[in-house]
Parts: sequence; C-alpha cells; structure tokens
Amino acid sequence: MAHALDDDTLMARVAEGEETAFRLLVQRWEPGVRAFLIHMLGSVEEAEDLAQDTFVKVFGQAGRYRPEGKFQSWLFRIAGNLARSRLRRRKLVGWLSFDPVVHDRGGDGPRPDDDLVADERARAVRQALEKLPERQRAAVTLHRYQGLKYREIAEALDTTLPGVESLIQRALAALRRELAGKVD
Amino acid sequence: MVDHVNDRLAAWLGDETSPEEAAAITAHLEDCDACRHEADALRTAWDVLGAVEVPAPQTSVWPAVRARTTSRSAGGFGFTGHTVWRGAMATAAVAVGILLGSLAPGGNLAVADDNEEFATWLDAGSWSEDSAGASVALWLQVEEEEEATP
Repeated sequence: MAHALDDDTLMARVAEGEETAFRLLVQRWEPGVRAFLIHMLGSVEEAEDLAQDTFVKVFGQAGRYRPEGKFQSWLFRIAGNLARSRLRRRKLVGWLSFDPVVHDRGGDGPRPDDDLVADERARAVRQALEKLPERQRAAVTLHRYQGLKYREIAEALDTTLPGVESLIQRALAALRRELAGKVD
Repeated sequence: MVDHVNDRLAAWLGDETSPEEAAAITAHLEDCDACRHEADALRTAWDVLGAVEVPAPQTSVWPAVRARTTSRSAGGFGFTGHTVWRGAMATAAVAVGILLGSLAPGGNLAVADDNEEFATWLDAGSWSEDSAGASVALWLQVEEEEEATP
C-alpha cells in the first residue's frame, strides 16, 4: 500500500532538486492556494498569477525551509504576503473596484431563477468579504475555506491565538452587519 | 449562570474550544437569549460564506511554475547568478528599507542586514507592509527584470 509523502519530506526532496517532489507539492496545494488568493483578491486571473509566484518562491526557499511549523502555514504566509503586496499596488494605482470573479467567469446566458438568487447571494458575500480589512479577510478565509486551525492561522499571519480569535470574531460580526437584510 | 459567552462564540462555531468549554457554552445558550441571538447571527454569517464558490481552474499552474523554476535553476537560482548586480541592488534595497524603517514607527526592516537575511525576510514575509513597501517593490522589480532577461 502506497503512503503519501508528507509535505516536509517533499520539501526536503525539492531542496535536493527532485522535480517530481516539487510537482507533487504544487498539485497537492494548488487548489487551496488558488482558492485562498481568489478570496483575497476577488480575481481569478490575478489569483492564478500569484499562485504561480507563490510556488516559485516555495522552490526558491526550499533549501532554507525548516520543518518547524506546519508547511501549509508557511505556504499560506507566502501567498498572503503576495496578496497583500498586490492589494497595496492596487491602492497605489487607484484600482477601480469591480466584480472580477463574475467578470472572469464569462458566458452570462439565461439561467434559472434559483441560479440568479444564488448568484446574488454569492455576490453580496463576496462584496462583504472585500470590505473586510485584509488580515480579517485572510483569517476568516483560511479558517472557513481552507480549514486551517487557529494555531495554523496564527503561524500564517504571524500573530497569536487570541489575535486570530479576535480577527475571526470581528470578521464574522462585520459580515453579519454587512449582510443583514441581503441574505436570508 | 455563567458569564456571557459572546467573545467565545466564533471559536465555538469554528470548533476551536475544548469539549468542556463547548458544553458550557451550549448550556449557556439554552438559558441566555442575548447570547443565543448573537450565536445565531454569527452562525448565519458563517453559513453564508459557503455561498461563495470558487470557479474551477481551467489549467494547472504547474507548467508555468516548472518553466519559471527550471529557467531559474539553469541560471543559478537565488544569489548565485548575477551576484554583483543582485548584491548591489539588495544592498540598495536594504539601505532604503533601513531609512524607511527608521522614519516609520514599527518598521522592522533594519534587522535585514545582509543579502541572505534580506531574501529570507522577503520570501517568508515578516515585514510590515507600510514601511517596507518601497524597498520590496524595488526588489521585486529587480527580480522581474532578471526573469525577463534571456
């Protein structure tokens, strides 16, 4: 029976230049990193660009990686910092807000009413997420969508357990206020 | 009756409490309308987050990542290639960062006092966003220019 190699073992092999190990890591973590970046940035295209950048940085740091925490916390820390940098650049260039996830999806034809209601709900939630401060958005996204535990989020965001709890509590409270009356 | 549990409700919803604390919170919610109302509201917020679906990827990033890392490896990944140029730019970036860090409260770039540490600091990301932004942008620009060079 084959056993999946754990992330730290794969990273050690990446450091030795083993491409197969790197490919396994990318394939294992690409969906999560990509989804996290979409939630952070609201754009599929940008998320895929930064997912690439994230894994290129993972490769570049493989020789210095030490399995002292969880690999996924380290990985999402890199992705989160890239997202933060990109969001800052948007501010610098006066980024105009739009709804890129819907924009990127394309092909808007006639759809059943249920789909439209679901789309409206999803749009309201996405907009509410976008209004959260970056760290609150990162914390709640890692917890809700990626299933990270508070301790892992603390490592990823370089904060404490009470800090994570506070971020998530405030994020949920803000979402509740923002979505009141918009979703049932 | 125990104290109100508002500040623990998010942890309770996210399964981040011990079994004993979870049981105490559940018992409290049965008797406390205010906390139960708050818990219901937070649970609604938690649940509606599930309404957001991520579009399925059309392609994997692997081919692009492989191409980028292969080309970097061939040219000497990290600080082994273009050492003089990269070293000079890293030094300049650190100098800018130290200056900004000294001007802005909370800046932590001054700890990056050599190229190796600067690279670790940049990639692992323990920097504060405002004070270090300019030097990070400078460094990223250098990297992007090098990547574009055949």
